[in-house]
Amino acid sequence: MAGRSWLVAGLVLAVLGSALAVIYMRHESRQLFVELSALQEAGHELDVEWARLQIEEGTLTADGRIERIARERLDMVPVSEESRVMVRIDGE
Amino acid sequence: MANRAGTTTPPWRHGLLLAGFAVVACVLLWRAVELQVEQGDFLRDQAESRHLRTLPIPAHRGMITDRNGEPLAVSAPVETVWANPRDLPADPRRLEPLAEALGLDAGGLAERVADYRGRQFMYVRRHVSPDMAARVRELGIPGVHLQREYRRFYPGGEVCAQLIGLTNIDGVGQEGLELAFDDWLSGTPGKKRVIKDLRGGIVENVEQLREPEPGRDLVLSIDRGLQYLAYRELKKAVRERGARAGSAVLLDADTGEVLAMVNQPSFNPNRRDEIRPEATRNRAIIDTFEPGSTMKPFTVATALASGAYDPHTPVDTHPGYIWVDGYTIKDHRNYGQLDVTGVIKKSSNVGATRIAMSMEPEQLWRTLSAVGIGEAVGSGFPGEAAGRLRHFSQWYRADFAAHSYGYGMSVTLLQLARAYGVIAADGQRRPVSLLRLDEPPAGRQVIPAATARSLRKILQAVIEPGGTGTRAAVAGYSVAGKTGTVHKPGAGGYEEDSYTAVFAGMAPMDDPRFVLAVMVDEPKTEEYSGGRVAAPVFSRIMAGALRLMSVPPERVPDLQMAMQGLEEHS
Repeated sequence: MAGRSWLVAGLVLAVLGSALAVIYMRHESRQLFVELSALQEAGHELDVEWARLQIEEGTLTADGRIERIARERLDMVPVSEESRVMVRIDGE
Repeated sequence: MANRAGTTTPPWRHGLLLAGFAVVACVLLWRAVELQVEQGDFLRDQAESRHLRTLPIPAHRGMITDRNGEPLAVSAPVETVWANPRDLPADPRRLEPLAEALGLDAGGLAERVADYRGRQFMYVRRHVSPDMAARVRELGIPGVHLQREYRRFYPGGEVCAQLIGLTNIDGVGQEGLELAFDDWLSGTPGKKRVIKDLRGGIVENVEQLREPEPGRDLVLSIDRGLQYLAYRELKKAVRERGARAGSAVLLDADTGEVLAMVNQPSFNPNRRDEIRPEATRNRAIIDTFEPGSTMKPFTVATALASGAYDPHTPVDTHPGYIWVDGYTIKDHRNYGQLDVTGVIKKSSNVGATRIAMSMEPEQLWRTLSAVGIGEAVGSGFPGEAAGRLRHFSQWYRADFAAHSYGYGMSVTLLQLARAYGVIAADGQRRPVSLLRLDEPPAGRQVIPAATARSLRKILQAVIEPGGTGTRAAVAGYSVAGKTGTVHKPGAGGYEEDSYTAVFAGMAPMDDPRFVLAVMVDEPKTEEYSGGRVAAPVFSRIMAGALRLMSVPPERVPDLQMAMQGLEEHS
């Protein structure tokens, strides 16, 4: 009789323990999920930013724009035929 | 029935209790019937609207870049505003801030909402900027939702427009390389399971069923800098000449890669609503024309390879015209006695005909088909034209004569560039590629190397004083090339005053780095010839390409000499 009581008590404890563990794990998974969602959101933000920067870089480095700035703002001109010289490395 | 106190319970009390229980039971039963039968459908809908849904996760479409990794087409995440019209506020005035935030006309939006009333889904505005999306989120109007999508941006703009092509708003390739390589570029959308509320908002992400698989990047053979250079010069020429259209193709002479391919008119692929269909044609690949005099070098190549001619063999073009089966073939004027080089230099039709007629039609046909005339380039570009070269067995004598100076056949500009690529590569023919190659593909010898080399020397004479292509010259470099001024065929024969101006060539002459073909269609100015209209464009693009790619000039004073010069000056 005494043995059976112990068994029952043990099982009750085990049930309680696993119930608590389920609660804990559920809580844990929710927290991790919240974290995952936040990270995914942050990842998405970075994606948006990256694409935006790429497009911005593409726009800023557009050859037409560079040429315009070089010609108009910096007063640059293509190298003229007369001012071009050939530098040969010795031995060639 | 007596209790401890000895009092008796009246019998009606028992009945009263029973009746009370019966009433309660009836009420419960009625309620159950009401829920099941009367409101059953409604409640079932409500429950269903809360259950799990499987949603697609859009996959990122691969980038298209130039050969150096510069982006030419990029997919950026954007948000799309959609609404469930059933949940929208009934008062149209409450939608006004939404219309304002999205830059829409408030009246127009109210009308569209009225049209969609009764349905569960409508786009309010697709592909909005992140700022707009943030404002919509702040407004928090019930029934308005945001959804993530990708939008395609083209940093290259009009410069690469026809080559790259377009996707539709759902990110599926529609034209150009976007269409040709759609499978390569587009990934596989993922799947996720979510719990949604009855308004369609996601309550909880349950699990990811399948990761979205992003598309792969596509690396083109195009060099963005050269592409821009070619586009700028072509656009300028087409505008100055009032021409209908124009194209230019720049090839790497050693690998067959297309370094630039530009067309006019063009369009800005980032503004879809302004696109005119004729501007989307990648004329260099899908439109054909008669190559005219640009084919004469291949007549000469046939003659040189036959062994019967060398560059100085005399050719009599007297008296400036020749009759072939009732057709007159004319030169601009009587060039008299020329040699083979002179025939090319002056672009004499009579000379080309005389040279060809001294051989068999099959010999000319073999050369033309060997350099790829009438044979598709196999670029994979949608709508690529193969051009046309009739078999020599179908040539009459007049056809044979016409073929010797480039009429009676049709080519695309890319085919023309490929044919000149054979001359540039010492007679080796390589496949043309729109994608960057890691190593040059194996070539096939289709013209003897010695013939190709002496042909280049002959073509150099075209650029020298007295030739038709003097304006193609590039200071500091030797250029070899050929002009073409082609009468355009119209209804009922060739038109008197409608031309295509062509120039095809290569530089530097000794060991060509680039092959360039330029075509300007229907120049409206007094000057319309290939030598006047197309050759200057060739010169400017070629000069820029040689400089940008640091090809050492052949004729430049040494530093030593320059220093001496400086010292003398000081």
